[in-house]
Amino acid sequence: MSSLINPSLSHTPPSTRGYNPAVGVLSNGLLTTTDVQHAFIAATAPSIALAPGKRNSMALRKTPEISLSALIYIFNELIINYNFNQSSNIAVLEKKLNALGYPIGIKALELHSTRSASPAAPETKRFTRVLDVLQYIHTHIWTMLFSKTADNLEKSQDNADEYMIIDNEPPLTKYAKPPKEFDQLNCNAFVAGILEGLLDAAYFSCSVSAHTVPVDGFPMRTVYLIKFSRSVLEREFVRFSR
Amino acid sequence: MTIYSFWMFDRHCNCIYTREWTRSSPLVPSHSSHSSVSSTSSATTLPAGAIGTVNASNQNDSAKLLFGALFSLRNIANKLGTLPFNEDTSVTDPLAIHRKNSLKSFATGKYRAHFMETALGLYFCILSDPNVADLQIVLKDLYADVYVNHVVKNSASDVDFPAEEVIGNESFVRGVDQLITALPAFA
Amino acid sequence: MTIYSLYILNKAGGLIYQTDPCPGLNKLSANEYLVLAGTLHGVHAIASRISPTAPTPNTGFFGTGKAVAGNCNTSGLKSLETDAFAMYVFQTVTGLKFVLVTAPGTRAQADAAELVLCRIYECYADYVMKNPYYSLDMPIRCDMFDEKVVEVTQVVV
Repeated sequence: MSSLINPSLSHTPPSTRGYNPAVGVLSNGLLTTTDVQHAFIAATAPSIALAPGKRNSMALRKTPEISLSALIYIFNELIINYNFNQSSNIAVLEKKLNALGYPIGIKALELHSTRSASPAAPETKRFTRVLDVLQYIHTHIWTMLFSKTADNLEKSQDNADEYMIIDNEPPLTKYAKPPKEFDQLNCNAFVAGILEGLLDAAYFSCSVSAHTVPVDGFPMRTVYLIKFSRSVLEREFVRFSR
Repeated sequence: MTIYSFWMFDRHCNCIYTREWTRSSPLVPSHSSHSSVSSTSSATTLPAGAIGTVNASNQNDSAKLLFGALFSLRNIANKLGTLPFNEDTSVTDPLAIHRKNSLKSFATGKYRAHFMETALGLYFCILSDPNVADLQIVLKDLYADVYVNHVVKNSASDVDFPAEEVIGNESFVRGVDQLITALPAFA
Repeated sequence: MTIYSLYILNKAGGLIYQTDPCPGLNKLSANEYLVLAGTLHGVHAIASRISPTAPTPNTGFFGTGKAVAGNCNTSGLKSLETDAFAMYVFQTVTGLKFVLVTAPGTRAQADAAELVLCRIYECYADYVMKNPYYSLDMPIRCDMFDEKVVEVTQVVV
């Protein structure tokens, strides 16, 4: 009773089980090292549970997979119903798709960092260089999202602040070629939003847009143009160019 | 492999002859007559020992549906298909250039309908099991041997049938049965 | 197997796609093709009603719990043979009909035609159904689908 009336920090209650926000994380001597490992594994295990209480075969697989058809159908409904009928022009539609992908990017960064940590190396490093974070996206994030790596990573010759990630066959739009009226639209603005959210969460503020640049054999080839803001470039220059 | 039935339609779109070798009653019963052989005026008596019915389904919905299907598919075949004009055959067959593409058969998963149309617009149709091979020759024999001999050459029978009149003469019925039951496809 | 034409009919019997890889059929007006499609749709339905055998209940789904992905055409019009061409009809669980018109051939050709129609159904499921710009039951105007159909029909010819 007295602990409730007296919330002062100087009076720390005896350590009991449970988390005390005034004190923070404590080792209360009840957890052994194996407990820590179990907790660690539970946190990093893939978290798809479709039927609670049932042994779900997908959760037992190493890399959980979902049907691409199902994902594309949901994504198409998203484009059609949520945006198509309500947007006046292509730019607005792309902006909406971008906004939809943004929170996913933030979560993707956290999720991947947690999952890629192993009991041997429990801490993941935070990226500080532009090239590092772009490499990370090119290989790891693409693998997490699409089960493949992106095809190319390029730096623009004309502008110092522009980088490009190229995907020859973007999985979400590989079956959908826009008709003539929507030639400029690339529904991968959604994926561009994911990238933008991810980079923003990693403290590289930028804007990302998706452009269709077809090439022989790859009619839906998409280029994600990443334009970093001035502050990022200045920081890069100050820190890393000696 | 079985042969289910044989139908004939004239150019006025009437069903003028039906012979069914099924052991159960027809699928779409008509409102006026039913499948028993001796109780209705339109049914014809069968030769002794024969199975099935004769002329019991002529006014049935299934007769009309079958005619409709045959007519529509025959029109599709005429309109869509072109027979290549071969200069060699036109010497022996001066009418070759006027020949229209004709429907031979159509099939569903349950049955196959073999079809022949004569020059005067008479339709001959045999419904059989889907696996039965082409019965075009049988249909031609039915026309040339049985119909021509027992109906056309028969001074006592009509050639241009008024509505609801059917081919009932015994020699024709016997001739059809003889021809069909002799086929290897007839189980 | 020379493929003269491919038609796709929606579940109401309207013609939504037509392609003619090889010449060999008469050229009709656009209206006549629509009438042709409607007629085929009608005859397909009629053909199941004049069956001389009793209809079997459709137990495929109830037995396995899975929908049939192939040709669901058990009692409707399946094939048509004439002097100049042969026509094969493939119907899906959703009522969509794929109609292939080829040069006349033996009965064995029906299996090959079914295979071709199956592959075209797959292309349809990928490049038309997953296209957000396509509305259901409307005429198909998808470039990628056209290319894939050409690929499939070329391989056979």
